[in-house]
Amino acid sequence: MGYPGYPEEFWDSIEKVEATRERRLKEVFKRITPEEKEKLLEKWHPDYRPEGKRALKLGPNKGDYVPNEVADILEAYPLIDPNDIDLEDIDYDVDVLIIGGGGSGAAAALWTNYRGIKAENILIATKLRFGDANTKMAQGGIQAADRPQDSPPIHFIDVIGGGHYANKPELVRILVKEAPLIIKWHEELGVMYDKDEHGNFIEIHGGGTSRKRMHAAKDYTGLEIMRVLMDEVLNREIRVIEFSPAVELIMDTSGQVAGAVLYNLETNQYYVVRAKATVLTTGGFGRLHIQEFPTTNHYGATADGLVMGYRVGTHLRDMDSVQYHPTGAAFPEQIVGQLVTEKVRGLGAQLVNIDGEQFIYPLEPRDVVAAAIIRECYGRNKGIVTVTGQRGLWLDSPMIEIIHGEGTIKRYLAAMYRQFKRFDIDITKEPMLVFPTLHYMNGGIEINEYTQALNADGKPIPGLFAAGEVTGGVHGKNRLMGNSLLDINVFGRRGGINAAKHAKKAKVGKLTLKHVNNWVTKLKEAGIAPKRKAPIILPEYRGKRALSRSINIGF
Amino acid sequence: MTAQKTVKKLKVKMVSIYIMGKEYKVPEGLTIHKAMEYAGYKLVRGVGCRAGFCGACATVYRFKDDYRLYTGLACQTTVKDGMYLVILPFVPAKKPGYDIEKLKADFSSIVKLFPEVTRCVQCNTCTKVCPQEIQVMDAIQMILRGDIKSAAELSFDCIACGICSLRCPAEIIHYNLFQLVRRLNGKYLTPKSQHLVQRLKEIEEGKFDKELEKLVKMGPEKWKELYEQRVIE
Amino acid sequence: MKYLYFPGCSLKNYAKRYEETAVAVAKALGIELIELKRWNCCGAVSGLAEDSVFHHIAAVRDLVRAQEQLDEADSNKLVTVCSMCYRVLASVNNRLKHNPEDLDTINEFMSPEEYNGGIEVVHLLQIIKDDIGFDRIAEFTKKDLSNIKVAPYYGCVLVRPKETAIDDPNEPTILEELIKSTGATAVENPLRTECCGSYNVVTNRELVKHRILNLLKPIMRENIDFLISVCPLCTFNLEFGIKANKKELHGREIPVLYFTEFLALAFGLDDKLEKEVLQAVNI
Repeated sequence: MGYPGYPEEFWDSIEKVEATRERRLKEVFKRITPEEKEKLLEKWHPDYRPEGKRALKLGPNKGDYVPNEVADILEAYPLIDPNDIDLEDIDYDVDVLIIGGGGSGAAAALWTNYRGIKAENILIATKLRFGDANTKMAQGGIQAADRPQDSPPIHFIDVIGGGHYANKPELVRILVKEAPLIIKWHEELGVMYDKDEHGNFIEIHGGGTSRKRMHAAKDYTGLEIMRVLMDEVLNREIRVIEFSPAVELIMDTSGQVAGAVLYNLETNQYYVVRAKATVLTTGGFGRLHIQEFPTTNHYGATADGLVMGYRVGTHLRDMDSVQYHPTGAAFPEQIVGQLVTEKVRGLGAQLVNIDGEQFIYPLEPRDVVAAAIIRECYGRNKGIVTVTGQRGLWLDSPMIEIIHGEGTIKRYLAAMYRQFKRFDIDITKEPMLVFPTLHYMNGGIEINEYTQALNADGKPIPGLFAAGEVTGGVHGKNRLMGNSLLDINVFGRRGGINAAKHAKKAKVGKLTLKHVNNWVTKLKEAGIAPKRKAPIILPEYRGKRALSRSINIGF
Repeated sequence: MTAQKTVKKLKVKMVSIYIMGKEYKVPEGLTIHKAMEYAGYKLVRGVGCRAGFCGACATVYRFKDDYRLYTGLACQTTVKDGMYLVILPFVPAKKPGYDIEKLKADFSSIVKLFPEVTRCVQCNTCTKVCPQEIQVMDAIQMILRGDIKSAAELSFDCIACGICSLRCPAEIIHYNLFQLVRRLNGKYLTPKSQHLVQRLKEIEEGKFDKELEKLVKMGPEKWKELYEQRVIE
Repeated sequence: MKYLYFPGCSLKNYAKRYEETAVAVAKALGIELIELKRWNCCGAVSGLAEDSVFHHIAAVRDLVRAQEQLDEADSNKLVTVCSMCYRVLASVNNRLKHNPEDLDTINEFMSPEEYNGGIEVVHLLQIIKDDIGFDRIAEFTKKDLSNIKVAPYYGCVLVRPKETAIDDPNEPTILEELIKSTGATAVENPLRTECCGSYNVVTNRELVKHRILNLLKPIMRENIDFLISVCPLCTFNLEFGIKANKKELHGREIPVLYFTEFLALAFGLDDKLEKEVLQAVNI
């Protein structure tokens, strides 16, 4: 016998997990009280470590505390020298420019098109391939209060409580009220949500929800939504330019945002895009590896949108909080940090320590569960330690098969099953080892209900819209599972609609990159040495030796 | 190979891999992506989510004295000694445009857009190369016999890496074809949710507007009170 | 009895009525047809090309699927209903059983899947004749068919070539015996094993039209109620030919029934028959 995918030193502990399983099936761990929660977060959540943050030295959020890694890219010099860019020679002249090819970008493009902007007057610019984004990786589901025993107001309370009451309430109202509309839109587009034979959605709980409202498409929910939206964008012949990230926003002399400078990653040339409206849908910052955490995020999640937006004066909010997903894979080494969807807990799997005992109610909000796991591993020393020093605790997935019947995991958690099976671990029979992983940028660019990006005075920056993970306010200081796929659709849609409205009447004047020059001046005044450049576009993972011998001979 | 061995050897054993024919020594147990980075490559093409969901890193490889062509995802496949590999930077594919509203969920709609589907010679190569272990050929066969629902379900885990389409002697573009099939299934062959229609009607009638307006204005103290009194379903 | 069952593409498409009645009739006879969980097209005509074993790959794969599912059935017989599927699967099976080298070649290509040659391919008619017995058909017949006159039509592939023929290739009688066992009359049809024109219907409709007219001429003198067919393609061509030759046939629209529809009718399984068929035969 034994567990071929796990080293022998884990086997004793796995046997303990098995031994307590039957008892635990009937055991409900008591929910945390508000007082305990506060103490737990303060002591063990990475957000509360003062050495992880510093105050920004300049810009619209001067004096605000943000993670060091975020401060590093905000307090950085531009990649381009504005003098090298010929703004008179325009490569793409469009009504609406959408920066970012994920779910928000695709939704924005479609709704811009629905609202009368012709496909040839829309441009999606994206860093990697169209659709290579965190959206595709979202597994668990999308929330929408559409069952009779649920309602948008109940959803509202869940969102704002999960966000520690720091959310921007008018954005939450939109999120919950427009959720059913989004699901309907998807249904009409042909998204294959899990349904029963009568057409009712199969809906389950997510962490922090008080009603079952998680709609899913197996555990490929984001992939399914993304590929349908992409298909529709391609059917409508909306232009997409891949491997060409934006590196700087362009403004006009009247002070509105009027396009962007793109950089072709393969030919190293720049493109000038002039646009009447620009929508930032660049996503979050997982690949900055805040406090050296591994991440669930895709390769391009480097928060370029924050950098570009900050230089034209966008105000950021809730940047002090970071979402660590409680259950990233902690073993095997090859997949450390990759997401183990919350749906595993939604379906009944408990979190247990090295002795096979529970230590937290499994569906507390994400920050609480993450902090509890860190405490169990480091404070109480009740976790597994792998050969590489990685710590972790058991997520008892075989419980799902006992509760819901054999075959449930393969049917509803196909991606998860496949992920572990590749390394000889059968999650229908063996638990998985998990530890928190950097998952989501809770905060971001502040927007209003019309998705207009706001400056430090709360006033819209003309011509600039933003939607999805790059924005802040919707989720306060902690996002709930299933509200991010919702966010990108609800606000992506709004971004598209409002950009279209704006583009129809906007007039663009003479293009300028003066704000970039001004930024350099401010950096110098603040005494920041010209060591760092941003946006960073892609993270640096090259081997130390290879990098140390890297030279640029400019052939 | 068990994961246990992988981790233990990670620190010591080096293997030779041939990236597009060039030899590099890299630690055993790394994924192809990580091994290439270790060797000094800055990945741009052939990389995306790095977690097996996006299909950007379709990889083909062979070993020295083995005629077989192996396939995998560079983010999910670990390097082995003597691997000759290339990550495919791009897969050319036709993607016919259509208006989903004007199609019918039947074989004739599909064959008009993808006539090549009838060229399937059932060699089963597509199934053999699929890194998601989808029964690709079976799904094509289901389409040919008009069973759209089964084809949609069977192809659901497709991440559009494109390996099947490059290997297909009938030149079928499986993943774009499956995309159409799944949308037809989702839109036309699955009953619509009635709760959703009811809820949309209520929203349109403004049923929740007053309550939401009150909630927006309430402020943290009251929210907290309501949150702590929640009844969990 | 439980048998594994291979439907084939036609029976899932335009010959749905063939499958519906085949399954119902079998059930009435106490036969459970277990559709293969996974199956693909038998390969149709390319499966009959003799030059290369590679052309047989589709059919072999279906045989492997049956082999995988064998523990669910009571016998090693794989039941087919479409006569073309029968012919392809049976031919390929024969060739591999008698030529171990070919079996090795194909298994090498199919690796890691492997066919062991253990499946016997049969047609539903054979099951009814051999495993149930025509003498028992009367027990199941609920309707008086003594006034009914029908003409059997075999087409080519069920009785040719002799290696896979389910009956005497020149003078088959299996359909006639079946018809008689229900109490109906089978008229003599001298051209019952002539070809219907096959796939020419796609490219040369005139040819098929003439061929069907010639096939029907000898039996037009008999006042038959309908024709009985065993093949979706034959049925398609017969129905097409009868419509196309309306003038030549003096407006007579002779219905064409699958043998399973005929049995369903005899057994009183009217709910399994399509409305149009029921109206046309009017019994």
